Amino acid sequence: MNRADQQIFEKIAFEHVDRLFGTALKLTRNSAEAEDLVQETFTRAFQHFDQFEQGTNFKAWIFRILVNTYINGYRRKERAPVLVDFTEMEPVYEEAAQETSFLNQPAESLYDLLDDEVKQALERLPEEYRMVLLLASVEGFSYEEIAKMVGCPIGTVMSRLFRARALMRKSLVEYARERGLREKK
Amino acid sequence: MNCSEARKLVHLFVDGALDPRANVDVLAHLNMCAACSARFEDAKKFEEFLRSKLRHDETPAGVRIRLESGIARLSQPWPARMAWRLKRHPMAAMSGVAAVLAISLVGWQTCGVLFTCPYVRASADHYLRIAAGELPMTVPGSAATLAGSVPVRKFDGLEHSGRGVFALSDNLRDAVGDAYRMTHCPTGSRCVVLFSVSLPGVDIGNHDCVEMHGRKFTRWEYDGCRLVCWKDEKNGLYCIMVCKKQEMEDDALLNIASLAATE
Repeated sequence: MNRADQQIFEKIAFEHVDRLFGTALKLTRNSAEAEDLVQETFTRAFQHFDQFEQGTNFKAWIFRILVNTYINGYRRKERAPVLVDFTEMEPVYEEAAQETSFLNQPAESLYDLLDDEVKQALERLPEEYRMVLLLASVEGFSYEEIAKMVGCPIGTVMSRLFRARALMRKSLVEYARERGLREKK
Repeated sequence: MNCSEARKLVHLFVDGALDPRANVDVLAHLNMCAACSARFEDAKKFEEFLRSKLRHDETPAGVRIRLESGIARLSQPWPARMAWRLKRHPMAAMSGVAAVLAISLVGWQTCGVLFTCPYVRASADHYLRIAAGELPMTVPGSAATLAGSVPVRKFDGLEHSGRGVFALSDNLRDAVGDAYRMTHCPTGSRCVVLFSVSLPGVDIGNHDCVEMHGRKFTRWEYDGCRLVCWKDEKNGLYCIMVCKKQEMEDDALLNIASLAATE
């Protein structure tokens, strides 16, 4: 890679570093691993920068590398106890989909939840759901872009995203209720 | 479009993924249905709420520096990278090559990029929580375990900010990486960390070996940190490390190591 290409890479890659590191941190839930994940992403992106088509979406391209690197190298076996069996979760989804109490919660109590409480709810999501929620809701990628990143059909991405949001709502309603109860006491 | 049909499209609507025709149909329905309109508004508000609460913090300066130096290193042709290392740290560069060769020979994990592999398996916080008894003595991703903690050590002329945690690892590279992660030296400050490694049958090897006061020391380099290791007959391998790419003459580092070894 010549010096000019290197400068172009550095300029556009570092524009996305906060988003890449933030996403890595939320995926790995470990700052040291997030750091390594982003460095490996940068290394791979730099080494394959000649394959990036100028004028196309660089953010989607480098996020795809991040997600692939995470899936292939950082999704470790010891994370397994944290994962939830999807079939066991099925009733929860149904319940969450039918959840109406969210609408009945006073908006101020729910929307007054702290950043940390929302982040904790995110951490409790199964990994596949957490990933699509981050890519769609936080990063604003389209279903198609996410499908390419995670290697799943668009329909799977949509159903994971729907369930992720439903589970987040359920968790946050519980947080808001608990907080309401604490404040009453 | 009825309420049931409209509500199935709420997420597509919020995500802006509806085709223009369906979008018009949904908007027409929302104009005449207060209940669906409230539900759609709520979904939109919830999405905005999530986006704002899950926004990313600014990346720590240390991470940016590490990324920049990684790119700078990668952008140099391989002979130039080695020439730079040889000129700047001749002994350490040679020991790095020797270490990589040795590692290849004994079958340890190999890596694509010299000196920039993610060996580190756990954060400093993880170790400290282990030391506090909050977590089991196992480090995710490796067979490494923690032996205990030691008081903070201070050496002549150096501000010390190492956490003073002894790491036991199944290989030296992991242990060095772990120790590297445990040091939180402010940029530009001089700090060192002392750690021990328990490796059954380990030897410090012959690469870049120096003898001082009747004891053998070996010198290594790891991702900008420079370290000197020596073997203790009772307790295995000890290493002392200076991090954050600070300048220090080889002799000064060896003197510190010698001092630590005799304590």
